[in-house]
Amino acid sequence: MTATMSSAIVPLNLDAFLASVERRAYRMALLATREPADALDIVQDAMLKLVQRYQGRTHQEWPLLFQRILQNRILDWHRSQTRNRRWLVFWQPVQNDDESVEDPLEQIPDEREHNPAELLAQADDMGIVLKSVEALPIRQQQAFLLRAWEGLDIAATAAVMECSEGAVKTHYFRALHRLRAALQPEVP
Amino acid sequence: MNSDNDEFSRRIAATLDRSAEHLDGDTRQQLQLARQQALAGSRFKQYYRPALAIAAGVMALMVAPWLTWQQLHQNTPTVTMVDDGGYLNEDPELLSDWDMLDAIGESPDA
Repeated sequence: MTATMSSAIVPLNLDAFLASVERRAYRMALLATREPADALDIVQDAMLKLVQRYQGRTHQEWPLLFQRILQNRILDWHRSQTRNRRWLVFWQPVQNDDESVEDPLEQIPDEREHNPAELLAQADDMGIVLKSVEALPIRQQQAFLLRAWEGLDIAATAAVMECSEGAVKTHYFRALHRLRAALQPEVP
Repeated sequence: MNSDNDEFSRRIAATLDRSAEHLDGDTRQQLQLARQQALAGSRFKQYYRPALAIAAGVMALMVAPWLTWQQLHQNTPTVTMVDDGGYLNEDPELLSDWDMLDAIGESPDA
């Protein structure tokens, strides 16, 4: 992987690297699954895979490799949840989580008055932010967290998410739109 | 609008940073344990331990009857169906006794 992450210094040994990423990885997995036990399993699986398969790689490659493993593991979890739901409720149509289908509500312009200061104040509220990010469709959530939180550029995000750069831009834009709508305070 | 979005994203990222630092002690301990196990590869052993136990059980079920059969056949004396004329070795004069041969239904010319 040659795409770039933010300029954070990567520890030289695997133990230190994993210690530096474990909490953020857990938070990402928890936002995606909303299940603490599953989130912990996902993080441990990702760590194990990195150790087993990639510890021979250079330390500069570890961040992107770890993110790719983590995000794939999160997607696997979501797919298994979808399969289980189909098995239990087979006569109901499966909810389409594919964000390639445009949400018509996103096309309606938001006519509320925007108060940037209030919006930013809401962005500082941990409870509201976590709830809003949790509510994002999984691909939008991944794109937003990788771009905005991990600081990956578009190429790196596309490599991690295994999608095109255009798809990353779309997912990220839609995520921003939803988050702004979710965090916008109600106008009395 | 781009600078607004950038500032908005930056503030959310800062909030997420705080959320990652504010994990409870129990979760932090579990993460540390998970990391140590990953480095030691012990989760690998945990994954395969049940499968190894099942494979060992199946092998035992297959091998035990075979061993039992082997032991039973070692103790059983072998019965030779071939008549090697043992009675003639004991009594070479037996064929001269015509009355005896007639009694047992044998012929001296057989």
